Amino acid sequence: MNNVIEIKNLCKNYKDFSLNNISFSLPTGYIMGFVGQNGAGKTTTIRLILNMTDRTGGDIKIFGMDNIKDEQKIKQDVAVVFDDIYFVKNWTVYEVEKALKSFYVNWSSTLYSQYVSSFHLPVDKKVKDLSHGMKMKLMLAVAMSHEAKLLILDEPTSGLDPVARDELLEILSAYISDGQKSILFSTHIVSDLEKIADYITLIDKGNLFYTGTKDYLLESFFVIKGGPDDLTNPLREKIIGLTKNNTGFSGLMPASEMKHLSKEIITETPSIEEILVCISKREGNHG
Amino acid sequence: MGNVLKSIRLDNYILKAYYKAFIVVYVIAIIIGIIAKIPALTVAIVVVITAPFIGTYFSVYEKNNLSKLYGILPLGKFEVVIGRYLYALFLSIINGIVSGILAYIISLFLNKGMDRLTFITYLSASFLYFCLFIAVQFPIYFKYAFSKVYIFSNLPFYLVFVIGAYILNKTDILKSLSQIIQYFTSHQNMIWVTGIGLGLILLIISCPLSYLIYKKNEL
Repeated sequence: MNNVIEIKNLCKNYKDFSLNNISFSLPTGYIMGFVGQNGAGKTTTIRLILNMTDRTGGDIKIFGMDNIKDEQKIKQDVAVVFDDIYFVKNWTVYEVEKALKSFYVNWSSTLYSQYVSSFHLPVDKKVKDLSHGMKMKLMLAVAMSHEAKLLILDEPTSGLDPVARDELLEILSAYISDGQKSILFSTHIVSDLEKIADYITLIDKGNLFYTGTKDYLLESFFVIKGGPDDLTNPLREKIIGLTKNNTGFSGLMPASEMKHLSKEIITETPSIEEILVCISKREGNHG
Repeated sequence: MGNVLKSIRLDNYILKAYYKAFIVVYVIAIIIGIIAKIPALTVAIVVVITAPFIGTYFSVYEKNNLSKLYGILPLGKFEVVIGRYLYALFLSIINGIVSGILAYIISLFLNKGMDRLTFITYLSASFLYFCLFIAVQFPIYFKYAFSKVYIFSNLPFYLVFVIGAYILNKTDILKSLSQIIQYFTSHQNMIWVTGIGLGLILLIISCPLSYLIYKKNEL
Protein backbone atom coordinates (compact mmCIF):
# COMPACT_ATOMS: atom_id res chain seq x y z
CA MET A 1 0.00 0.00 0.00
CA ASN A 2 1.53 3.36 -1.06
CA ASN A 3 1.54 6.19 1.40
CA VAL A 4 0.61 9.68 0.28
CA ILE A 5 1.95 11.21 3.47
CA GLU A 6 4.76 9.81 5.59
CA ILE A 7 5.80 11.84 8.59
CA LYS A 8 8.56 10.71 10.91
CA ASN A 9 9.55 12.31 14.22
CA LEU A 10 8.36 15.74 13.18
CA CYS A 11 9.33 18.45 15.65
CA LYS A 12 8.76 22.17 15.75
CA ASN A 13 9.65 24.42 18.65
CA TYR A 14 8.03 27.76 19.30
CA LYS A 15 8.55 29.89 22.41
CA ASP A 16 5.31 28.74 23.98
CA PHE A 17 4.54 25.52 22.11
CA SER A 18 6.32 22.44 20.85
CA LEU A 19 5.33 19.76 18.41
CA ASN A 20 7.10 16.63 19.58
CA ASN A 21 8.04 13.62 17.47
CA ILE A 22 4.87 13.39 15.43
CA SER A 23 4.84 10.35 13.14
CA PHE A 24 2.03 9.10 10.97
CA SER A 25 1.28 7.96 7.45
CA LEU A 26 -1.74 8.20 5.21
CA PRO A 27 -2.25 5.45 2.61
CA THR A 28 -3.48 6.32 -0.89
CA GLY A 29 -7.24 6.34 -1.34
CA TYR A 30 -8.23 6.99 2.26
CA ILE A 31 -9.42 9.79 4.50
CA MET A 32 -7.49 10.52 7.65
CA GLY A 33 -9.06 12.55 10.41
CA PHE A 34 -6.46 14.74 12.08
CA VAL A 35 -7.89 15.40 15.48
CA GLY A 36 -6.97 17.43 18.50
CA GLN A 37 -8.33 20.24 20.55
CA ASN A 38 -7.61 23.85 19.57
CA GLY A 39 -3.90 24.55 19.93
CA ALA A 40 -2.94 20.86 19.84
CA GLY A 41 -0.65 21.40 16.85
CA LYS A 42 -2.84 20.40 13.90
CA THR A 43 -2.37 23.61 11.92
CA THR A 44 1.34 23.67 12.75
CA THR A 45 1.67 20.14 11.34
CA ILE A 46 -0.21 21.14 8.18
CA ARG A 47 1.96 24.24 7.77
CA LEU A 48 5.03 22.04 8.13
CA ILE A 49 3.68 19.61 5.51
CA LEU A 50 3.22 22.56 3.14
CA ASN A 51 6.67 23.95 4.05
CA MET A 52 5.05 27.20 5.13
CA THR A 53 7.23 27.13 8.22
CA ASP A 54 10.60 25.56 9.01
CA ARG A 55 10.69 22.37 11.03
CA THR A 56 13.04 21.81 13.94
CA GLY A 57 13.46 18.13 13.12
CA GLY A 58 12.03 15.07 11.44
CA ASP A 59 11.10 14.03 7.91
CA ILE A 60 8.08 14.66 5.74
CA LYS A 61 7.50 12.75 2.56
CA ILE A 62 4.58 13.45 0.25
CA PHE A 63 4.02 11.03 -2.65
CA GLY A 64 7.39 9.58 -1.60
CA MET A 65 9.19 12.91 -2.19
CA ASP A 66 10.80 15.24 0.30
CA ASN A 67 8.41 18.08 1.04
CA ILE A 68 11.16 20.73 0.92
CA LYS A 69 13.38 19.47 -1.90
CA ASP A 70 10.48 18.66 -4.20
CA GLU A 71 8.09 21.29 -2.89
CA GLN A 72 6.88 22.66 -6.21
CA LYS A 73 6.44 19.24 -7.78
CA ILE A 74 4.47 18.08 -4.76
CA LYS A 75 2.27 21.18 -4.67
CA GLN A 76 1.08 20.49 -8.20
CA ASP A 77 -0.84 17.57 -6.72
CA VAL A 78 -1.80 19.01 -3.35
CA ALA A 79 -4.83 21.16 -2.63
CA VAL A 80 -5.65 22.88 0.62
CA VAL A 81 -8.83 24.22 2.14
CA PHE A 82 -8.32 26.42 5.16
CA ASP A 83 -10.91 27.63 7.65
CA ASP A 84 -10.86 31.05 6.02
CA ILE A 85 -10.69 32.10 2.39
CA TYR A 86 -7.27 32.99 0.98
CA PHE A 87 -8.27 34.59 -2.31
CA VAL A 88 -8.39 38.32 -2.95
CA LYS A 89 -11.79 39.38 -1.65
CA ASN A 90 -12.35 41.65 -4.64
CA TRP A 91 -12.00 38.77 -7.10
CA THR A 92 -15.12 37.28 -8.56
CA VAL A 93 -15.57 33.50 -8.72
CA TYR A 94 -14.65 33.79 -12.40
CA GLU A 95 -11.49 35.81 -11.66
CA VAL A 96 -10.32 33.28 -9.07
CA GLU A 97 -9.93 30.75 -11.86
CA LYS A 98 -8.23 33.24 -14.18
CA ALA A 99 -5.68 34.14 -11.51
CA LEU A 100 -4.83 30.62 -10.41
CA LYS A 101 -5.22 28.23 -13.31
CA SER A 102 -1.82 28.93 -14.86
CA PHE A 103 -0.06 27.55 -11.78
CA TYR A 104 -1.36 24.02 -12.22
CA VAL A 105 -0.36 21.72 -15.07
CA ASN A 106 -3.50 19.61 -14.59
CA TRP A 107 -5.94 22.50 -14.24
CA SER A 108 -9.24 21.81 -15.99
CA SER A 109 -11.51 24.79 -16.71
CA THR A 110 -14.28 22.34 -17.56
CA LEU A 111 -14.01 20.77 -14.12
CA TYR A 112 -13.95 24.19 -12.46
CA SER A 113 -17.10 25.21 -14.31
CA GLN A 114 -18.74 21.93 -13.33
CA TYR A 115 -17.89 22.37 -9.65
CA VAL A 116 -18.91 26.03 -9.66
CA SER A 117 -22.21 25.04 -11.20
CA SER A 118 -22.86 22.04 -8.94
CA PHE A 119 -21.93 24.05 -5.83
CA HIS A 120 -24.30 26.84 -7.01
CA LEU A 121 -21.56 29.46 -6.92
CA PRO A 122 -22.49 32.62 -8.81
CA VAL A 123 -19.57 33.32 -11.19
CA ASP A 124 -19.95 37.10 -11.09
CA LYS A 125 -20.17 37.36 -7.34
CA LYS A 126 -17.17 38.71 -5.47
CA VAL A 127 -15.45 36.51 -2.92
CA LYS A 128 -16.23 39.00 -0.15
CA ASP A 129 -19.96 38.70 -0.87
CA LEU A 130 -20.05 34.91 -0.57
CA SER A 131 -21.37 33.22 2.56
CA HIS A 132 -18.97 31.21 4.73
CA GLY A 133 -20.26 27.96 3.24
CA MET A 134 -19.88 29.28 -0.29
CA LYS A 135 -16.32 30.42 0.38
CA MET A 136 -15.50 26.93 1.55
CA LYS A 137 -17.06 25.49 -1.60
CA LEU A 138 -15.07 27.91 -3.75
CA MET A 139 -11.83 26.73 -2.12
CA LEU A 140 -12.97 23.15 -2.78
CA ALA A 141 -13.77 23.95 -6.42
CA VAL A 142 -10.24 25.32 -6.88
CA ALA A 143 -8.76 22.38 -4.99
CA MET A 144 -10.58 19.81 -7.08
CA SER A 145 -10.12 21.50 -10.46
CA HIS A 146 -6.47 20.58 -10.67
CA GLU A 147 -7.16 16.96 -9.79
CA ALA A 148 -5.10 17.12 -6.62
CA LYS A 149 -4.14 13.68 -5.36
CA LEU A 150 -3.95 14.93 -1.81
CA LEU A 151 -6.53 17.23 -0.32
CA ILE A 152 -5.65 18.83 2.99
CA LEU A 153 -8.49 20.38 4.96
CA ASP A 154 -7.64 22.55 7.93
CA GLU A 155 -10.75 23.09 10.05
CA PRO A 156 -12.98 23.58 7.00
CA THR A 157 -16.17 22.97 8.95
CA SER A 158 -15.58 25.66 11.60
CA GLY A 159 -18.44 28.11 11.38
CA LEU A 160 -20.49 25.98 9.00
CA ASP A 161 -24.04 24.97 9.81
CA PRO A 162 -24.85 21.22 10.01
CA VAL A 163 -26.41 21.17 6.52
CA ALA A 164 -23.32 22.71 4.92
CA ARG A 165 -21.09 20.34 6.89
CA ASP A 166 -23.07 17.37 5.69
CA GLU A 167 -22.83 18.66 2.11
CA LEU A 168 -19.04 18.92 2.49
CA LEU A 169 -18.80 15.34 3.65
CA GLU A 170 -20.77 14.20 0.60
CA ILE A 171 -18.44 16.17 -1.70
CA LEU A 172 -15.38 14.62 -0.06
CA SER A 173 -16.75 11.11 -0.27
CA ALA A 174 -17.41 11.58 -3.98
CA TYR A 175 -13.95 13.05 -4.48
CA ILE A 176 -12.05 10.02 -3.18
CA SER A 177 -14.33 7.47 -4.83
CA ASP A 178 -11.80 6.65 -7.57
CA GLY A 179 -9.37 5.29 -4.97
CA GLN A 180 -6.51 7.47 -6.23
CA LYS A 181 -7.03 10.48 -4.01
CA SER A 182 -6.51 10.93 -0.30
CA ILE A 183 -7.67 13.44 2.26
CA LEU A 184 -6.10 14.72 5.46
CA PHE A 185 -8.98 16.28 7.34
CA SER A 186 -8.03 18.36 10.36
CA THR A 187 -10.87 19.28 12.65
CA HIS A 188 -11.94 19.60 16.23
CA ILE A 189 -15.56 18.89 15.23
CA VAL A 190 -14.99 15.16 15.37
CA SER A 191 -18.57 14.13 14.69
CA ASP A 192 -17.82 14.88 11.02
CA LEU A 193 -15.06 12.31 11.03
CA GLU A 194 -17.13 9.50 12.53
CA LYS A 195 -18.94 9.38 9.21
CA ILE A 196 -16.12 9.45 6.69
CA ALA A 197 -12.66 8.91 8.17
CA ASP A 198 -10.83 5.63 7.64
CA TYR A 199 -7.83 6.59 9.72
CA ILE A 200 -7.43 8.83 12.73
CA THR A 201 -4.39 10.66 14.01
CA LEU A 202 -4.99 12.18 17.37
CA ILE A 203 -2.63 14.73 18.84
CA ASP A 204 -2.74 16.38 22.20
CA LYS A 205 -0.65 19.34 23.33
CA GLY A 206 1.86 18.76 20.56
CA ASN A 207 2.22 15.02 21.23
CA LEU A 208 0.93 12.08 19.25
CA PHE A 209 -1.71 10.12 21.16
CA TYR A 210 -2.88 7.71 18.47
CA THR A 211 -2.48 7.05 14.79
CA GLY A 212 -4.12 4.16 12.98
CA THR A 213 -7.48 3.04 11.69
CA LYS A 214 -10.61 4.62 13.12
CA ASP A 215 -12.02 1.19 13.91
CA TYR A 216 -8.95 0.15 15.88
CA LEU A 217 -9.07 3.39 17.85
CA LEU A 218 -12.69 2.79 18.78
CA GLU A 219 -11.90 -0.83 19.72
CA SER A 220 -8.87 0.14 21.77
CA PHE A 221 -10.71 2.20 24.34
CA PHE A 222 -13.90 2.01 26.32
CA VAL A 223 -15.83 4.59 28.23
CA ILE A 224 -16.40 3.31 31.74
CA LYS A 225 -19.00 4.58 34.19
CA GLY A 226 -19.55 3.58 37.80
CA GLY A 227 -20.81 4.63 41.19
CA PRO A 228 -18.66 6.47 43.76
CA ASP A 229 -17.78 3.24 45.57
CA ASP A 230 -16.53 1.53 42.42
CA LEU A 231 -13.67 3.98 42.00
CA THR A 232 -10.74 2.23 43.64
CA ASN A 233 -7.25 3.66 43.69
CA PRO A 234 -5.79 1.10 41.22
CA LEU A 235 -8.69 1.82 38.88
CA ARG A 236 -8.28 5.57 39.23
CA GLU A 237 -4.69 5.28 37.99
CA LYS A 238 -5.77 3.48 34.83
CA ILE A 239 -8.56 5.85 33.85
CA ILE A 240 -7.81 8.51 31.25
CA GLY A 241 -9.67 11.79 31.78
CA LEU A 242 -11.47 10.87 34.97
CA THR A 243 -14.65 12.87 35.67
CA LYS A 244 -16.27 12.60 39.08
CA ASN A 245 -19.61 13.84 40.36
CA ASN A 246 -22.04 13.03 43.19
CA THR A 247 -23.54 10.06 41.36
CA GLY A 248 -20.29 8.44 40.31
CA PHE A 249 -17.48 8.70 37.80
CA SER A 250 -16.70 8.25 34.13
CA GLY A 251 -13.60 8.13 32.02
CA LEU A 252 -11.74 6.38 29.26
CA MET A 253 -9.90 3.14 29.69
CA PRO A 254 -7.64 1.16 27.36
CA ALA A 255 -9.31 -2.07 26.21
CA SER A 256 -6.31 -4.04 27.50
CA GLU A 257 -7.24 -3.06 31.07
CA MET A 258 -10.88 -4.06 30.82
CA LYS A 259 -10.51 -7.62 32.14
CA HIS A 260 -9.77 -6.37 35.65
CA LEU A 261 -12.99 -4.39 35.91
CA SER A 262 -15.72 -5.30 38.35
CA LYS A 263 -19.08 -6.28 36.91
CA GLU A 264 -20.80 -3.23 38.39
CA ILE A 265 -18.96 -0.88 36.09
CA ILE A 266 -20.72 -0.01 32.85
CA THR A 267 -18.63 -0.06 29.66
CA GLU A 268 -19.50 1.61 26.38
CA THR A 269 -17.84 2.01 23.00
CA PRO A 270 -16.57 5.59 22.92
CA SER A 271 -17.07 8.17 20.23
CA ILE A 272 -14.00 9.97 18.88
CA GLU A 273 -15.26 13.06 20.64
CA GLU A 274 -15.32 11.27 24.00
CA ILE A 275 -11.78 10.02 23.43
CA LEU A 276 -10.66 13.52 22.52
CA VAL A 277 -12.31 15.05 25.60
CA CYS A 278 -10.85 12.42 27.92
CA ILE A 279 -7.30 12.68 26.65
CA SER A 280 -7.45 16.46 26.88
CA LYS A 281 -8.25 16.07 30.59
CA ARG A 282 -5.21 13.91 31.24
CA GLU A 283 -2.53 15.20 33.52
CA GLY A 284 0.84 15.32 31.76
CA ASN A 285 1.29 13.70 28.40
CA HIS A 286 1.41 9.98 29.07
CA GLY A 287 -0.40 8.01 26.46
CA MET B 1 11.24 31.79 -16.15
CA GLY B 2 7.76 30.29 -16.49
CA ASN B 3 7.02 30.58 -12.80
CA VAL B 4 8.36 34.15 -12.68
CA LEU B 5 5.90 35.11 -15.41
CA LYS B 6 3.10 33.38 -13.49
CA SER B 7 4.13 35.30 -10.40
CA ILE B 8 4.02 38.59 -12.32
CA ARG B 9 0.61 37.64 -13.70
CA LEU B 10 -0.67 36.89 -10.21
CA ASP B 11 0.61 40.23 -8.91
CA ASN B 12 -1.22 41.87 -11.79
CA TYR B 13 -4.47 40.10 -10.87
CA ILE B 14 -4.05 41.03 -7.23
CA LEU B 15 -3.67 44.75 -7.96
CA LYS B 16 -5.98 44.87 -10.99
CA ALA B 17 -8.94 46.23 -9.04
CA TYR B 18 -6.83 49.19 -7.94
CA TYR B 19 -5.68 50.27 -11.41
CA LYS B 20 -8.61 52.65 -11.71
CA ALA B 21 -6.85 54.85 -9.14
CA PHE B 22 -4.45 55.71 -11.95
CA ILE B 23 -7.22 57.59 -13.76
CA VAL B 24 -7.10 60.18 -10.97
CA VAL B 25 -3.30 60.22 -11.06
CA TYR B 26 -3.30 60.75 -14.81
CA VAL B 27 -5.89 63.55 -14.60
CA ILE B 28 -3.91 65.35 -11.89
CA ALA B 29 -0.64 64.83 -13.79
CA ILE B 30 -2.16 66.21 -17.00
CA ILE B 31 -3.59 69.26 -15.22
CA ILE B 32 -0.25 70.01 -13.52
CA GLY B 33 1.60 69.46 -16.81
CA ILE B 34 -0.69 71.96 -18.55
CA ILE B 35 -0.66 74.55 -15.76
CA ALA B 36 3.13 74.39 -15.39
CA LYS B 37 3.47 74.32 -19.18
CA ILE B 38 5.95 71.49 -18.73
CA PRO B 39 4.49 68.40 -20.47
CA ALA B 40 7.35 66.22 -19.16
CA LEU B 41 6.14 66.93 -15.63
CA THR B 42 3.14 64.69 -16.39
CA VAL B 43 5.50 61.75 -16.93
CA ALA B 44 7.43 62.49 -13.75
CA ILE B 45 4.28 62.71 -11.62
CA VAL B 46 2.85 59.45 -12.94
CA VAL B 47 6.13 57.52 -12.57
CA VAL B 48 6.75 58.88 -9.06
CA ILE B 49 3.23 57.99 -7.89
CA THR B 50 3.54 54.48 -9.36
CA ALA B 51 6.05 53.64 -6.60
CA PRO B 52 3.77 54.04 -3.54
CA PHE B 53 0.93 52.54 -5.59
CA ILE B 54 2.88 49.28 -5.86
CA GLY B 55 3.28 49.35 -2.09
CA THR B 56 -0.50 48.86 -2.03
CA TYR B 57 0.19 45.28 -3.08
CA PHE B 58 1.53 44.49 0.38
CA SER B 59 -1.53 46.04 1.98
CA VAL B 60 -3.80 43.84 -0.16
CA TYR B 61 -1.59 40.84 0.68
CA GLU B 62 -2.03 41.45 4.39
CA LYS B 63 -5.75 42.22 4.31
CA ASN B 64 -6.61 39.21 2.15
CA ASN B 65 -4.63 36.52 3.95
CA LEU B 66 -2.54 35.94 0.85
CA SER B 67 0.33 34.32 2.76
CA LYS B 68 -1.83 31.19 2.77
CA LEU B 69 -2.36 31.43 -0.98
CA TYR B 70 1.39 31.74 -1.56
CA GLY B 71 1.88 28.86 0.88
CA ILE B 72 -0.12 26.45 -1.23
CA LEU B 73 0.87 27.52 -4.74
CA PRO B 74 3.61 25.64 -6.58
CA LEU B 75 5.74 28.74 -6.64
CA GLY B 76 9.18 29.26 -5.10
CA LYS B 77 10.01 32.20 -2.87
CA PHE B 78 12.73 33.39 -5.23
CA GLU B 79 10.22 33.49 -8.09
CA VAL B 80 7.80 35.44 -5.92
CA VAL B 81 10.41 38.07 -5.07
CA ILE B 82 11.88 38.46 -8.54
CA GLY B 83 8.36 38.50 -9.98
CA ARG B 84 7.39 41.34 -7.65
CA TYR B 85 10.36 43.48 -8.70
CA LEU B 86 9.76 42.79 -12.39
CA TYR B 87 6.09 43.55 -11.98
CA ALA B 88 6.97 46.89 -10.35
CA LEU B 89 9.40 47.61 -13.17
CA PHE B 90 6.86 46.73 -15.88
CA LEU B 91 4.21 48.88 -14.27
CA SER B 92 6.56 51.87 -14.14
CA ILE B 93 7.58 51.31 -17.78
CA ILE B 94 3.97 51.03 -18.95
CA ASN B 95 3.03 54.13 -16.97
CA GLY B 96 6.11 55.90 -18.35
CA ILE B 97 5.08 55.05 -21.91
CA VAL B 98 1.41 56.02 -21.47
CA SER B 99 2.27 59.25 -19.66
CA GLY B 100 4.97 59.95 -22.30
CA ILE B 101 2.30 59.76 -25.00
CA LEU B 102 0.07 62.03 -22.93
CA ALA B 103 2.96 64.47 -22.46
CA TYR B 104 3.44 64.54 -26.23
CA ILE B 105 -0.27 65.28 -26.72
CA ILE B 106 -0.05 68.04 -24.09
CA SER B 107 2.93 69.55 -25.90
CA LEU B 108 0.86 69.61 -29.11
CA PHE B 109 -2.04 71.16 -27.21
CA LEU B 110 0.26 73.83 -25.75
CA ASN B 111 1.82 74.44 -29.16
CA LYS B 112 5.11 73.80 -27.48
CA GLY B 113 7.47 71.14 -28.75
CA MET B 114 8.79 68.47 -26.38
CA ASP B 115 12.19 69.64 -25.22
CA ARG B 116 14.40 66.53 -25.30
CA LEU B 117 16.62 67.62 -22.41
CA THR B 118 13.67 68.45 -20.17
CA PHE B 119 11.91 65.22 -21.08
CA ILE B 120 14.84 62.91 -20.38
CA THR B 121 15.72 64.81 -17.22
CA TYR B 122 12.22 64.45 -15.77
CA LEU B 123 11.89 60.85 -16.89
CA SER B 124 15.32 59.78 -15.62
CA ALA B 125 14.93 61.59 -12.30
CA SER B 126 11.47 60.19 -11.70
CA PHE B 127 12.62 56.66 -12.62
CA LEU B 128 15.53 56.97 -10.22
CA TYR B 129 13.17 58.11 -7.48
CA PHE B 130 10.82 55.20 -8.33
CA CYS B 131 13.66 52.69 -8.05
CA LEU B 132 14.93 54.21 -4.81
CA PHE B 133 11.43 54.00 -3.36
CA ILE B 134 10.99 50.35 -4.38
CA ALA B 135 14.53 49.39 -3.37
CA VAL B 136 14.01 50.76 0.15
CA GLN B 137 10.39 49.74 0.70
CA PHE B 138 10.24 46.22 -0.72
CA PRO B 139 12.70 44.64 1.74
CA ILE B 140 10.82 46.35 4.59
CA TYR B 141 7.46 45.09 3.33
CA PHE B 142 8.80 41.59 2.78
CA LYS B 143 9.97 41.56 6.38
CA TYR B 144 7.14 43.27 8.26
CA ALA B 145 3.39 43.54 7.96
CA PHE B 146 2.41 46.52 5.80
CA SER B 147 0.14 48.05 8.43
CA LYS B 148 2.94 48.07 11.01
CA VAL B 149 5.63 49.74 8.90
CA TYR B 150 3.74 51.87 6.40
CA ILE B 151 4.55 55.18 8.07
CA PHE B 152 8.04 54.08 9.05
CA SER B 153 8.82 52.87 5.51
CA ASN B 154 8.12 56.34 4.14
CA LEU B 155 10.54 57.96 6.56
CA PRO B 156 13.62 57.61 4.31
CA PHE B 157 11.91 59.77 1.70
CA TYR B 158 10.94 62.47 4.17
CA LEU B 159 14.51 62.34 5.45
CA VAL B 160 15.88 62.76 1.92
CA PHE B 161 14.00 66.07 1.63
CA VAL B 162 14.99 67.25 5.10
CA ILE B 163 18.65 66.32 4.62
CA GLY B 164 18.61 67.76 1.09
CA ALA B 165 17.19 71.07 2.33
CA TYR B 166 19.77 71.16 5.15
CA ILE B 167 22.68 70.51 2.77
CA LEU B 168 21.46 73.17 0.33
CA ASN B 169 21.14 75.64 3.17
CA LYS B 170 24.40 74.95 4.95
CA THR B 171 26.82 74.22 2.10
CA ASP B 172 27.74 75.78 -1.20
CA ILE B 173 26.70 72.69 -3.07
CA LEU B 174 24.65 74.89 -5.43
CA LYS B 175 27.90 76.08 -7.00
CA SER B 176 29.01 72.55 -7.81
CA LEU B 177 25.41 71.74 -8.76
CA SER B 178 25.64 74.23 -11.60
CA GLN B 179 28.75 72.37 -12.79
CA ILE B 180 26.83 69.10 -12.64
CA ILE B 181 23.97 70.66 -14.62
CA GLN B 182 26.44 71.93 -17.20
CA TYR B 183 27.98 68.47 -17.49
CA PHE B 184 24.62 66.82 -18.04
CA THR B 185 23.54 69.51 -20.51
CA SER B 186 26.57 68.79 -22.66
CA HIS B 187 26.39 65.02 -22.11
CA GLN B 188 22.66 64.41 -22.40
CA ASN B 189 23.00 60.67 -22.80
CA MET B 190 24.53 60.55 -19.35
CA ILE B 191 21.17 61.62 -17.94
CA TRP B 192 19.66 58.37 -19.19
CA VAL B 193 22.64 56.36 -18.05
CA THR B 194 22.65 57.91 -14.57
CA GLY B 195 18.91 57.81 -13.95
CA ILE B 196 18.10 54.43 -15.42
CA GLY B 197 21.45 52.79 -14.65
CA LEU B 198 21.51 53.89 -11.01
CA GLY B 199 17.87 52.98 -10.61
CA LEU B 200 18.42 49.47 -11.95
CA ILE B 201 21.51 49.03 -9.75
CA LEU B 202 19.40 49.93 -6.72
CA LEU B 203 16.82 47.31 -7.69
CA ILE B 204 19.53 44.71 -8.32
CA ILE B 205 20.91 45.31 -4.83
CA SER B 206 17.49 45.35 -3.20
CA CYS B 207 16.09 42.21 -4.86
CA PRO B 208 18.47 39.62 -3.30
CA LEU B 209 18.08 41.39 0.03
CA SER B 210 14.32 40.98 -0.20
CA TYR B 211 14.76 37.33 -1.11
CA LEU B 212 16.98 36.66 1.89
CA ILE B 213 14.35 38.28 4.10
CA TYR B 214 11.36 36.56 2.50
CA LYS B 215 13.11 33.17 2.51
CA LYS B 216 13.19 33.23 6.30
CA ASN B 217 9.59 34.39 6.61
CA GLU B 218 6.92 32.00 7.72
CA LEU B 219 3.95 32.03 5.38
